[in-house]
Amino acid sequence: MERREHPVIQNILGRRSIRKFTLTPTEPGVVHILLECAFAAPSAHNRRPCRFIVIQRREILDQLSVAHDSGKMLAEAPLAIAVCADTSLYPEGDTAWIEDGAAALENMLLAARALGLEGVWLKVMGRHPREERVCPILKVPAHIKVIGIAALGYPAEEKAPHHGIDNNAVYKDCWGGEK
Amino acid sequence: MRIRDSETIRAILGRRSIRRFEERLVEKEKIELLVECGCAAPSAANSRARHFVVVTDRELLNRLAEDHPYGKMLFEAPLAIVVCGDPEKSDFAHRYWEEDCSAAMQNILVAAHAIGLDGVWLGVRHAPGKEESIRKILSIPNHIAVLGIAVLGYGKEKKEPHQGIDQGALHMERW
Repeated sequence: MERREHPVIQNILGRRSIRKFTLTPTEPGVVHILLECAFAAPSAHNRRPCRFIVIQRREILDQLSVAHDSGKMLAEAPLAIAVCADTSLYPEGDTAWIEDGAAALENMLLAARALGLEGVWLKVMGRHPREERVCPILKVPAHIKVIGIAALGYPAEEKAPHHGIDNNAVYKDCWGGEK
Repeated sequence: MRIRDSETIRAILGRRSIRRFEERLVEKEKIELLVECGCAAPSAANSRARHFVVVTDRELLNRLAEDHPYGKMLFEAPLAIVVCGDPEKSDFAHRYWEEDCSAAMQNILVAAHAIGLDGVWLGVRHAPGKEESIRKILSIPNHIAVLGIAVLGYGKEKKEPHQGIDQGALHMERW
C-alpha cells in the first residue's frame, strides 16, 4: 500500500471545510468519541485547559447561526461543539492555551470525518462583535474563552481532497534552505 | 466495526508524547507526506500563513537540543519539523496564525503516528526567549513567528493510548 493511501493520511488530506449538512441527527456514541479525541490532543505542560460545550438543541443552534456572522450552516447542522479554554489556569497575558484548544479542535474535525461526519471550524475569539454575540448564548463566564466552534453533521456537499505542499512553505535545514 | 476501531480514531487516541527515538532515519517520502498533512489543516479564510523548516542535519538538531530547555530529545531524534507562521501575510493571518499553525502541527503528529513514527510537540512561542534563539539557529527572518517544533523519529518507548473525558470539562447545551 502506498503510504498516501493509508486511511489516516487519506482522512487528513480529505478533510475539507463542509458547510452543507443533511438533516440526519448524529448517531448515539458519536459525541463521546469526538470528545475523547479532543481530550487526546496534547496540552503544554499537560495543563489541560480545554473545556467543551456540546450543542444539539435546535433552538440554541439556530440562535448561534444568527449570532455568528459566518455561522449560517448552524441552522442546518445537528451538532456543534464549542472549544473553550479556562484562562484562569494561566498567568495574566499567557495565552499558551490557544495552541491546546486549536489542537483539540483539529482532532475533533479529523475524528468526525472518520465517523462519516464532516464540518467546519468557526473562529470565535478575536473577532468583534462576533465574540460578544456568541458568548452570552453559551453563557460562558468571563475567565472562559471560546476559541472556536466545530459545526458538524452528515455532509450534503463534497470537495476534492487536499494535495501537495504550499508553495515556498518548506525549507530544508534552515530558512531558505534547498526545498 | 465499533466506531472506536476506526484507524483514524486509533491514531488520534494512540498519539502520545514520545521523547525516546531509535537512530533510524526517517525516509524522505514520509517527511514530505507529513508536511503535506500539515498543509491540509484548515486556516482562517484559507490564509495558509504557515511555513515548515525540515531539519535533519545532526549538527543543527544538536544546536536546537542545546538551546531549548525541554529539547534534550533532539539529541536523539533524526527529524524536526519547525512549524512557523507569517502573521504579516494578511489580517486573518495576523489574528489566527497561531491557531492555524497549531492545527497543522496536530495533523503532523497524528499522521506521524499513523505511519509508524512518533514524536512530541515542543512549544517555542510561549517559551521565553526561545523564538528568538531558534530564529538565529535556523536563519528564520524576524517577521516570522515560530510556533513550535514537531520532534519526530521511530519511537523507542511505548505509552498507552488516551482514553476518556476530563472530569468537569464537559457542558451540555450551555456552560
